[in-house]
Amino acid sequence: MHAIVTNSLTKIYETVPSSTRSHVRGMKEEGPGLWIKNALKLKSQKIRTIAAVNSLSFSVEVGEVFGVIGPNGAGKTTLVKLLSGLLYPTSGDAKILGLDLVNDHEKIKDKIAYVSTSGWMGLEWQLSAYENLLFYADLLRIPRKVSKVKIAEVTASLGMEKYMKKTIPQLSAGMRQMLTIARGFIADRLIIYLDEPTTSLDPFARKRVWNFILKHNRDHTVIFSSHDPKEIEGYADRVMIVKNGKRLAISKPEAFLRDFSTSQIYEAELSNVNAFNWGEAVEIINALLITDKRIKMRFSLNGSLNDFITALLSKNVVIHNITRSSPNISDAYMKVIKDE
Amino acid sequence: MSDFVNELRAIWSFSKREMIIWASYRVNIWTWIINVFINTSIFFLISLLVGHHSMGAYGTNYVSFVVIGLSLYYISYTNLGDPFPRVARIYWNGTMDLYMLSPLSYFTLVIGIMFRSVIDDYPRVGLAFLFGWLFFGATFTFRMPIYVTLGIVLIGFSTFGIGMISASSFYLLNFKRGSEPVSFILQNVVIALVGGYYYPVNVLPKYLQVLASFIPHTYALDLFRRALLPGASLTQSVLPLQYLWNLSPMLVDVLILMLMTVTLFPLGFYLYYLGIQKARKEGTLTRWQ
Repeated sequence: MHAIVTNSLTKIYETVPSSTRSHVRGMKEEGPGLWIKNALKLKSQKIRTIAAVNSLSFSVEVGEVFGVIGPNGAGKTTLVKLLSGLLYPTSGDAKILGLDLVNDHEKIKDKIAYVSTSGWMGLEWQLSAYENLLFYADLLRIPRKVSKVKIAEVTASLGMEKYMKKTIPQLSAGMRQMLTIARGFIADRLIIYLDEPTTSLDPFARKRVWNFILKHNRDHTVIFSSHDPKEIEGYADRVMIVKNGKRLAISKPEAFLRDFSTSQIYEAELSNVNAFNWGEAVEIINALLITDKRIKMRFSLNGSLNDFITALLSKNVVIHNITRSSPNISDAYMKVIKDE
Repeated sequence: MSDFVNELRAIWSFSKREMIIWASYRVNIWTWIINVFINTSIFFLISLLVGHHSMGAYGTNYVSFVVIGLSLYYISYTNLGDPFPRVARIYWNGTMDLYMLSPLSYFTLVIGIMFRSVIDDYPRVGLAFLFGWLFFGATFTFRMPIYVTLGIVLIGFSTFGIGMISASSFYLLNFKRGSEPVSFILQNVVIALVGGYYYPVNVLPKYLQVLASFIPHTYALDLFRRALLPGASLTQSVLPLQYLWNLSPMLVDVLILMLMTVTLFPLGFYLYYLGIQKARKEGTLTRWQ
């Protein structure tokens, strides 16, 4: 059974470039100036449209952990907001557990939970962590008897019991993020959207959160967005790579790796590379400038290593070290993003 | 039934949350009391200047007259003036998505976010009456409790309706920054001038009295003053519409307040709903895209 089915889902925003925003028709955009502008619908001639999500069609099975990965501005957050009913699509449609995204969005609220990357901003700073969760449970119309048990259960699983009496300013950034994650899980909804949920968490907290999510998701569907390919590889059943709102690829993480495993991956530290023409033999996955002249790079090689080393030496490139490496999901991800 | 209980519990939860937050700023309580005391004192000093001058149908005690005006000002300030900044606050601090994903009714959520203003402003009414009575010689009579109760309910809902029209402009007309024209023009211009907080409406030029006929404050103040001020007339017409209809002036007040309430309150929530739908389409519902 499908938890989510989307059909050419598209969201187009209208934006005004910041350079023109400040002097639209010579009005200051505050007070009466703004009132008149809005009333008369004055718009800049330079309005641009941006397709944040562009004809996305995909489906997610019930019980699946589905990862969405892409660079900044790829449309991950817009996609999650569309699927949660916070935005209506410009065109296309989607079904959430069989309910129409637009026509049934009030019914969808009882089926989904949403943990946003900036969710900690919505915490009330004068209240304790526990009071915040209790308030949110009331907001979700969860009966008190149920919510108290659920809060105890979720916070224990996330190792947060001892922080429950602290107010928000007394919590670290990571703990605040954990609290927003806990907030998403107390409702026990069938579909959970996690928008970059572990951004500010240390590796131990990340592991704890993911253990909890995976334990929890036996009869739940998890859709999460992330910048971190390793997180996707470790936890997603399937992954969709998006860029500029478009779907570049959708597959199981191991399938991405399998497609990529024919490549020879190397890591090298080199100096004096300016005169070297990389040609088609080498595909750089990522490169890091260590000093002015020295770089550390990871690349896939399409020819023989000996020929490559000979070519480097002929151009006076200094080879500090060069080692074979095995392909990982980050390599596959970088390749897909670069190929686009 | 359980949905209704859950909605009520959410309102209770909002009120508790807002009370904790309000009380956490302890200096609030003192500035709050001093502010009401100073406001009442100012009008007492003006009344010393005026003396026991007759205010026509409303008796002769100016402090009592103004305490009622001041009380309605506090209620109006909250109901009419606060929905817009409250909606703006939850938008800008990034909590709008939490509220919009809540299965609670929009009405419950709006009532909930208004609680801080209610806690801050409504008790000022009681304090104004108390200070007026204790220190400045204000006197009141409670001879028409049903009219007073009806008046409180009707002015509460009608001003809240206007407040929601003002709040709807946040999304509907995209007034995201600073103020917006609905509450500014009504609260700060029309009501401030012709609402009759500090003087009877019949001292105004005729054209301003006609303008005053279009705001609920005019009728609520007339109703409260007739019902609560000793020596106030129950039969003498003061407002233009009271001259037109051959009914008791207080009944005219109630009927017009009812008409305004059934128009403004649903209209306010409908426009707010339209604004949210528009924002969902445009992608401006929450601050963080």
